[in-house]
Amino acid sequence: MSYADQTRSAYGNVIDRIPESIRVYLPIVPVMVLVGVFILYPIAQAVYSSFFSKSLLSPDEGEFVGLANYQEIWTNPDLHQVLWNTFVWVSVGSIAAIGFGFVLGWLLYEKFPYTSVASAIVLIPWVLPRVVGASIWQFMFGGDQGIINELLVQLGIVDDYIVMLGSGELSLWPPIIGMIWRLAPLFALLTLTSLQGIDEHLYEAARMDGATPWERFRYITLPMMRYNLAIGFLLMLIYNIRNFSMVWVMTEGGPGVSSSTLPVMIYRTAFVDFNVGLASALSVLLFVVLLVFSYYYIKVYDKLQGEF
Amino acid sequence: MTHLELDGVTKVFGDPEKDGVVAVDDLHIDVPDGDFLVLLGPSGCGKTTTLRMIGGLEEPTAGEVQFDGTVVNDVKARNRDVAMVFQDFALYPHMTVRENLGFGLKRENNDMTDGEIEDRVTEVAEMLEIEELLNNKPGQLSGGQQQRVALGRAIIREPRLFLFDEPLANLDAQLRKTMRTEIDELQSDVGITSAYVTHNQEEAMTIADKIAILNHGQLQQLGTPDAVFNEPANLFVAQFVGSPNMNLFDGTVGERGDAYRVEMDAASFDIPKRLVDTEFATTDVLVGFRPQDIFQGRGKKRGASGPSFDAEVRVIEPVGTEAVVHGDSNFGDITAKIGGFHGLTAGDELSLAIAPEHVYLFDARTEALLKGRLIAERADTQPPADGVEV
Repeated sequence: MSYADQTRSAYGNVIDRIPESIRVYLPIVPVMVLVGVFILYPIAQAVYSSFFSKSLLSPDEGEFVGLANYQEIWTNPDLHQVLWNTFVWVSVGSIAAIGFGFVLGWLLYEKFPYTSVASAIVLIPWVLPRVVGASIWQFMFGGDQGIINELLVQLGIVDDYIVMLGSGELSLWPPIIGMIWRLAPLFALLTLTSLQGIDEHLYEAARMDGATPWERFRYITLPMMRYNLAIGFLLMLIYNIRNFSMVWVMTEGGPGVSSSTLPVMIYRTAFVDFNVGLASALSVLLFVVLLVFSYYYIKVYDKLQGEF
Repeated sequence: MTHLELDGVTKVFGDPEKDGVVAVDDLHIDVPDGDFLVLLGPSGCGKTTTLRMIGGLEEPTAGEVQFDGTVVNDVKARNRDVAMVFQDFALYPHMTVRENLGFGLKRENNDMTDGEIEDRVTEVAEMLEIEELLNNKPGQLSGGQQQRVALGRAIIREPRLFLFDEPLANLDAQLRKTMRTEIDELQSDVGITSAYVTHNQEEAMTIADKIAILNHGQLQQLGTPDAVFNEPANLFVAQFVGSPNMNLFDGTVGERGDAYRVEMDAASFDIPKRLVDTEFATTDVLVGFRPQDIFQGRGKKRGASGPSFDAEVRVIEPVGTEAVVHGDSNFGDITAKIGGFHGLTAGDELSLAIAPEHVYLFDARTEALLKGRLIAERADTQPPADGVEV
């Protein structure tokens, strides 16, 4: 008796009666249910809520307002400030994290004797609980006892302690610096592993072919790393745009909205201002941006898999 | 076109004063212009390190590497104008075959235009019959095709020297033989001085003008394939070269008239003095003979006076028209190569003999060669051809 026959007899002919075209999907039903309940439903709910004017205090009473919440994003100068902050945050944060991370990864590869130990140490900012890391930076940037103020005074850059976290002009930057500190190690590790993945013989072959150190970097190292770097870049974008803890712990997005990014603003709108409709509309916006990033992430990842 | 010379080249990894590892020890090798040198030896004998020092990938701890009499120790690898073929080919995986071939030409400070480079790439690709593959990436090629691209990348620049680091080790047996012949032909055609590393003695014998045999970083012998086979400098060379391995037995030697009397546990025989060049400073010797030199039949009947003995066949390994026979004799284990279609089975009794010309003698203490396998002209009587006359 074949395995198929055994199965058939065990389940009787109930399953047999289901048409083949439907039967093949049965095994993935449990996963689809989970995805539906925990992912698809909340997304749909957020999109739905974004068309209503709704308060968190009375979530059952909502008034359908059409695209009014999206119009609010379009016209409210505070929200413009938040979008601009998010853009600055994501671009500066990602590029700097990549720059520092790449150099750090390179140093780990070339200069450090105990690479595994050194990279474990380098990874500390990444593995530290996020709130702990953010709190450390909050202390360091603090206005009256912060070590960074002390440093600036010692170096003669400023005459006296200055307010950073509480200043509308400066408050965006300390969290960005904290975020670079958190993300650079991840990119460093990515750089290190992709450098280690390059066959040493390729460099030797290039040396025999007459390539200078710069040419070896330009024509061997960089092209061999290009998909890894692209994935790292997209990861940085995604981590940066999703970040909440670093800003919230350090400045709570203030003063005003001077250091708010999208996720912080969503939280404030929903849980401080209780404006669920607008928060949902902002969430949908963030969702679309992330969807674009993710699409490219998966595309590059597929290329990486198919490359060698 | 380069005359390559290694003058006392030494490489120590780690601290030479403390526990450094001597990979290459005071190597002197002279390779005339256009010659094909093979560096042969077991794993860890320093042959690859030597090659890498010639190429500039390693710096000698002491000694000089000279191209045409100019010391190049301080010349960087990229400026030595040397091409190397690696064991794993080391093709640039992200470049097409065309880009792989052209990479070296583009790096050189020559005045070639892109068009000229393209022409040269096509020319070399045609020579190696890979013109169909020019737009493919290495990952899409078979092992043999990758090997050709690797060769192409080396010859396209018309370098002063070719270096080969076990270039055939990653290929299957069939392809290895074809590529071996091709490399040999290619090198003869372009006439570029070459150094080739292998641990495969058969490969070395077929391809080399000269073989340098290394062990523990020291040069054991530098000679033609004939010389290392027939007149191995010492026991190591004798055992490393030739397949199956040489049979070896303890013995003593003494003089008896115009002959040397060799006494072994189970036999004794005379070697006429005219067959021996060396003065014997010892009486303890190792007696060796190659499986190919053992023939069936009674030596004395054939006018030769070499050792003869009986053996019982234990294992037969047929190799086409020949067979390698492992047997038990009154000397101990013996390996013989029997030619022709033999019809032997395990348990058969064989009468075997060796001509005295073909007997090797080594000093038992120093393991230096006392008497080699003399080639036919020097012997009075024509010894039988390799293998057996039944």
